Parts: sequence; C-alpha cells; structure tokens
Amino acid sequence: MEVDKGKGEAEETRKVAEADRDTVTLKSSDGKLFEVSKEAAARLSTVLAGMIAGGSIDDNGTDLKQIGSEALENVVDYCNKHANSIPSAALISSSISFNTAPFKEPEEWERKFVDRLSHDALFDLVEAANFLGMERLLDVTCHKISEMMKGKSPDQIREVFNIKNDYTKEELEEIRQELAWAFYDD
Amino acid sequence: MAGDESFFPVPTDVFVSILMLLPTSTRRRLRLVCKGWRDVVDERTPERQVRTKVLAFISKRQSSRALVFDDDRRREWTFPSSGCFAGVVDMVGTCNGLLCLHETAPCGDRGVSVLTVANPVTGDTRRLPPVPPARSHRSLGRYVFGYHPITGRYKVVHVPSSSSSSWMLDAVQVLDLGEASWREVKVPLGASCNHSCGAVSVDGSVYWLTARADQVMSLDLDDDEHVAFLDTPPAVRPVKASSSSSSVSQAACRLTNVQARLGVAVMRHEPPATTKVDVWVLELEGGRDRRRQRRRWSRRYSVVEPNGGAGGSWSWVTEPHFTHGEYVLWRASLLSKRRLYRCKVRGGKDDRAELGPPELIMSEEFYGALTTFAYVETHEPLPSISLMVFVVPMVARQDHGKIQGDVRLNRQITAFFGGVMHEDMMLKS
Repeated sequence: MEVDKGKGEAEETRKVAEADRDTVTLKSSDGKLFEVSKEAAARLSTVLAGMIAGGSIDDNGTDLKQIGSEALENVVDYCNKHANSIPSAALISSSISFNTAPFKEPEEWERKFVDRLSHDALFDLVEAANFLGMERLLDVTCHKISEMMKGKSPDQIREVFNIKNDYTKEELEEIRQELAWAFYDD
Repeated sequence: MAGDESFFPVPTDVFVSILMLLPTSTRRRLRLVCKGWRDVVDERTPERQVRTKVLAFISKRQSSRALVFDDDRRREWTFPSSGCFAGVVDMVGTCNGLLCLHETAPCGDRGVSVLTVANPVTGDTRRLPPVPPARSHRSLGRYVFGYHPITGRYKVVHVPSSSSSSWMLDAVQVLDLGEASWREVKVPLGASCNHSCGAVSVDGSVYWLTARADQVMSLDLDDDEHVAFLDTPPAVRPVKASSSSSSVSQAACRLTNVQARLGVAVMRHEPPATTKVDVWVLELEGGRDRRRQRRRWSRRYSVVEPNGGAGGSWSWVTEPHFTHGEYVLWRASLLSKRRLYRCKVRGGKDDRAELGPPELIMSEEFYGALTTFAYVETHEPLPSISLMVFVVPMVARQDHGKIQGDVRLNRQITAFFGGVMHEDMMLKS
C-alpha cells in the first residue's frame, strides 16, 4: 500500500505506516527495546504469533516482563539469523519430509549460535524460548545442554551446573549397585 | 513455569526434554547427581518402567525385517536392500535404541558392503563410510557396534577374521560415529579372531575370542582404545587346530551379554538329545579404574535344554542371555519355519537351573537367519559428524546445508539405501 504523502496529515501518515510495519517492537524486563521482523516472530514463536494475530502488539514496545535484555537480544538475533537461513531450510524440506520426527538436529549456524553463549546466557535463553513458545530455539538450546551432560562424571556435572550433592555415601553406593544392573529391574 | 529451581535452572518440562535427548544409559547415570535429578529420571522418563524388549531380526534377501515384541503388541520395520537382487541386510547390533545394520551382496568386483546406523523410531538413518577395502575384502570380518557410557561416544569396530586358524590379526578398524573415517588400532602379538564364537559389545568394551578360543580379547572404547587379552572361563576348552567332528561331546561357545556384563555361553551336546548350556559371567571388582580392577569368571547358570524336541527341528538357546528379565530366548528352525520362544529360568542362582515351559513369541516362514537382540526405544538423535565442515569438499561447500540435510535427514526407511549420492561423495573425499 502506498502512503499518500500529498494529504500532508502527519498523524494519519504515522498511523498507516505503523499498521503496515513489517517489524514488531519488544520490550525487555529492564525496559530495552528490540525490533524483530513480524514474519519471523510469527513463524518462530507461537506466543508472538498469537499476540500479532490477536492485535495485542504494542507499537511502543510489547512488554515481555519475564525476559531480560540479554536474553531478548539473543532471541531477536536468533530470529534474524533464522530468517537469513531460510534458503537451506527450504531446500531440505522440499526433498525430505522431516516433520514427523520429534527432533531435528541443529544446523551448523545454530550450533555456533548457542556455542558462543555464556552458561547463564544459555539458561536465560532456554527460559525465554520456553516462555515465548519458540519450539525450534528450545530444541537447539536443549540440545546444547544435553551435549554438556554427555561424557561427564556425576561430580563434573554437579560442578558444571552448580548442583549440590544431597546424597549420603550409602545412598550413592546403593544407586551405583543398581547401575551395574543396567536395564534389569524387577 | 512451574520449575523447581533448586536442582536445575529451567522448568521441569524443559529439563525432561533435555534428558530425553540423552542415551538411556547416560540418563541412568545422571540419577547419581542429586535426589532431584533422580526423581525426575524415575518419574518423568521411561527408565524405570521400560525393560529391554526382544528384537528379532529376520535377514532375508532383498528385504530384512526387525520385529520388536512388547507385552501385547508387535512393531515391525522393514529394511530393503539397495537394488541388488542378492543383497542381504543383517543387523550388527543395537546400543541405546540405535541399530547398526550391514548390507552385503555378492555383486560388483568386491561385492557390496554398506554400513548404516538408524533409529527406527524417529526414522533417522545415516550411512557410514565403508572399511578401507584393503582391510575388508579378503577376510571374513566381524562388525561390532558399541557405546562407551562415560565418553558417550558410539563406535563401530571391524575385527578381521579368517576360517584359517593360522591367520594372525595385526590390527582392528574403529569408526567413531562422530568422525568421518576409520582408524586402525594395533593389537598385541598373538591376536586372532574366532569368527564362529561371535563378538559382543558390553558396557564400553568390545570382546571377541582368539582363533583357538583359548583367550578373550578386549578393546576398550574409551579414548585410548586399548586392546588386551583376558583368560577365558575354565570350562572353555581350546579349539584344536584340526577339529574333528566325531567327538562324543562337542563343546562350542559364544560370547554374549548377560545383564550388562560379558558372558560366555558354553554349549555341550550330550547324546542322545540334550544340550547343556553353562553361562559364565565376568565379574568386575574395583570400579572403572583399569589398574585396580579385578576380573573373575563365575558361573551364573547351567541349563539343560531339550534338543530336537519340537518335531526334529534344530533348537538352541540364543543370545543375549538373561537380558530379558528372568527369561532366556530359545529359537527353533525346521526347513523354512523359524520359531522364537521364551522360557522362564527356574531355580535361581543354583548350579542347575531348569527352563520353564516355552512360550511362543514368534513364528515365521522364511529362509534366512534369525538373530535376537535386547532393544530399548529412544528418541535420541543420531550422532553426527562433529567436524562436518572439514570433510566437505570445497566445491560442495556452498551447498553445505543441502549435503548435511541429506546425510542426516534421510529419514524414510523405505528409501533406506537410496538417494545417498551426496553422502558418498563427501565420505570418499
């Protein structure tokens, strides 16, 4: 739609322009504003898609009180990168149907995207992806965390994830005994 | 957002989906981290409810099938061979619900030999590079599919073997599923492989017997891939260089997996019509540290099976032994009839156990091999080559997304071995 500047009504022009915008503005818990493509937001987040369809998007910044600015920046960054990677995603889906599979492995860029995150940033992003209903981003971040659990002893896992060992020595020994009988429960 | 953040900083539902991406054995080990994790693994993942299921693999020309038996239902997957009429897909083994399959066919110069890993539940399949031809075409060779529970890595091991007892083994070949090519692992002097006694993977190690069946050889699947000799149980008698078939009581043995430990089943045919099966288990004491480990063979069971009972058919107790609760599997074949029974083992750990009445779990008519495995279902994604970008040739790099897609997402089991041109190109380079 063309905006008719000839009418000269500033108010009118602004309204039309906003209704037509192809981005949405999101506001983090600490008040920072981020712009993200409307198309990508609607495609990647079930929550944002619902808000866009329901008209509850605030042009001055939709409040996302549960998400801090660092996590929201990563969410927006992910949406933008995802939009850029569409060609390869389309290529794959045109030749092979994978929608029935419960999990699709992260692509190279998605791996790199989560690899550069700090420990806390990764967990904040999981929380944000869960809150916004971003299934794919949740898959990618969960995959990263599951990779962090592989090949580590219980001690190392406690250290990495900062978890307190609340077992007694005897309780641990008992579980170890069960482990020796993997896949065999009566 | 009802997350109990005391044990993990994400909502419990998300924690559960993270756990579901891990192999079952890793998940079990995570119960050691803290009580909160143990409770989630116990209550929210299939660990405690699910036992291993019996997987029967029917190897047939052109199209093989895997049947998985639950208590009340049966699932079936088909694995067609790739084009060649005489091709047969056999199952190498299963780890944490992933299957390793091997297709062979006599066509072409050297014949066809195609290795694949697949998760039949998700439909993921990945073709693996072939063993370097200099290593595979002259000897028989055994493939073993293994998983190391600490490093979390899957490996396929190729142990060259030969029907000649004087043939010496100098190296085995190992493919880490996270890497693009096979590596040679040297074996100590005097090593060999007895093809007919089988080879198994148990708890992070691969085992096979020497040609004379007088020693067990072990290969650790951890990072050092150390090959060593172990004693066999006292009941295993060395195979003579020229074996005579006329001996009254003929002993044969097979390596097997007994409740996640190495087992040797020693079968002795006792005329006129019984077979005694002793199952020995390697007990490990002193934890995982190899230097402090003590290994000791102990006899777990001794069962006498009626032989030739069911209408003159061949029958025998089959591996893996006792992984299916208190049951052993028993297969019988007569001409094209293949039957699989399970029998409850009575008498506990006493020297002589008795087999309960056989319950029929499968009856099929086909010419071909019937092998059985202990299977657990998983949604774990297939391990992928972590350094993919280094093995993709420069020309193909621009098209990177597509190649990766073909490698990982060839999900249609029916198109099992089809359409893998890109992958071939990549793996050869």
